[in-house]
Amino acid sequence: MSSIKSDLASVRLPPLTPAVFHILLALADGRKHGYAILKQVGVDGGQSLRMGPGTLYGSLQRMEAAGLVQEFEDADDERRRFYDLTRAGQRALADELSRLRDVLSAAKRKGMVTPNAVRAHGASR
Amino acid sequence: MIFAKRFGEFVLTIYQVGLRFYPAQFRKRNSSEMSRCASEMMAESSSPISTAMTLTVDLVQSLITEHLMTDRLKAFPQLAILLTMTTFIAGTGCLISQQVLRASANDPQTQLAEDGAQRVSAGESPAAVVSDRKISMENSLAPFVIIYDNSGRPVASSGFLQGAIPTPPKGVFDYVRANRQDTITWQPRPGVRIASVIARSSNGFVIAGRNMREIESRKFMVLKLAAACWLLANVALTFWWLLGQFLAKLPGLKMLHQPR
Repeated sequence: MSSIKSDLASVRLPPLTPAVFHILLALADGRKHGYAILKQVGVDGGQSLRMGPGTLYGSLQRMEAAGLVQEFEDADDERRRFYDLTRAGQRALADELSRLRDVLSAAKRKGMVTPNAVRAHGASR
Repeated sequence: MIFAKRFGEFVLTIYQVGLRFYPAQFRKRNSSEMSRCASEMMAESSSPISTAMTLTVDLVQSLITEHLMTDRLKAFPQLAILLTMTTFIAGTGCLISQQVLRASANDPQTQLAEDGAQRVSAGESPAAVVSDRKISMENSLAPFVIIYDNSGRPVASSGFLQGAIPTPPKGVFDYVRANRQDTITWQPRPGVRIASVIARSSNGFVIAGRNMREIESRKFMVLKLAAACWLLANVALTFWWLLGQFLAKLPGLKMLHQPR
C-alpha cells in the first residue's frame, strides 16, 4: 500500500500552460486579488508574457475547478475576490519547476546555456 | 495628458462593450472584476496604447476560448459535428460538379450563337446561317440554330419541336437587347430542356441550343455517387464513434482517460 502511495507521489502532473504556470508562481508568496496577480505575472514573465483580465479570470476559473487555487473574500474589501494556492496547486507548481530545472540541466550539459547567454544552433543572444 | 486620459476612457468603454460578448455564466461571474482590472491597468500604465493593445488581444483571445469552453458546445455530440461535415463536403462536391457539367453543356452553342450573330449582322441571309439539316429538339443531341427578327418572330431554324419552331419567353429577348448575350436553360415543353445561348445580331437574335438529356443523366449520376459516398462515410463514422464509445467503457482503457 505504501509502495503504491510512493509510486503515485512520484508521478508528475502533466505540463502546465504558460498562463497557469505564471498564475501559480504569482500566488506562491501568498494570496492575491486579480490585478495583483496580473502585476506579479508582469514582473515574473517580463515582456515575454503579457496577460490580460480575460485570460487571467478564465484560467483562474478553470484552476479553481481543477482544485489548484481557492477563492477567498477579503473582510476589508468585499468587492474583491482573492485567490490562494491549494496543496494540489503547490504540488503542480513544484512539479513544473522541477521539470523546468531538468530541461535547464539538459541544456547546460549540451553547452547551450552559459552564465551570460543562451545559445541555440550556433546563434547566441 | 488630457489626450491620454480621454484615450484611456475610450478604451475602457470599448472594453465594457466587449465584455458583453462573453458567455452569460462567465460574464456574470467575472465581468466586474475584469472591468476593475482593466481600469487599474490603464490607470497605472505608462503607455496607454500598449495597454490598449494588450487588452484588445486578450479580449479577443479569451472570448474565443471561453466560447469554445462552454458546456453547451462541449455537450454537442462529436458524431453530429462529423455528420454535419460529411454532409457539407458531399453537398458542396455534388453542387460544384453539377455546375461544371451544366457550364460545359454550353460549349458549342456559345460559338454557334456568336458566329451566327456576326454572319447575320454582316448581311448573310438567315437561311444560309442555319444548317439544312432538320434537328428534332426533343430527340436529337445535335446542336441547332434558330434566328429571330427584332420583334422575336422566327425567321430561320435548323431546330424543330414537333414540326414547329418554338419561341422563348419575351423577357429573354428584352434581357439580350440590354446585355448582348445570355445563357439559359430553356424548356419549350415539359420534359424538353435545352442548354441555350442567345446572342444579339444587328437586326434580331440568334439562339443556339442543344438537348440536355445526356448532361442531366450525368448530373444524376454525380448526385447518386455523392449520396453513396455520403452514406458510406456516415456509416463508417457512426461505426467508428460507437466503437470508441464502447472501448472507452472498458475498465483497462478507462483508466488511461481519467485525469490524474
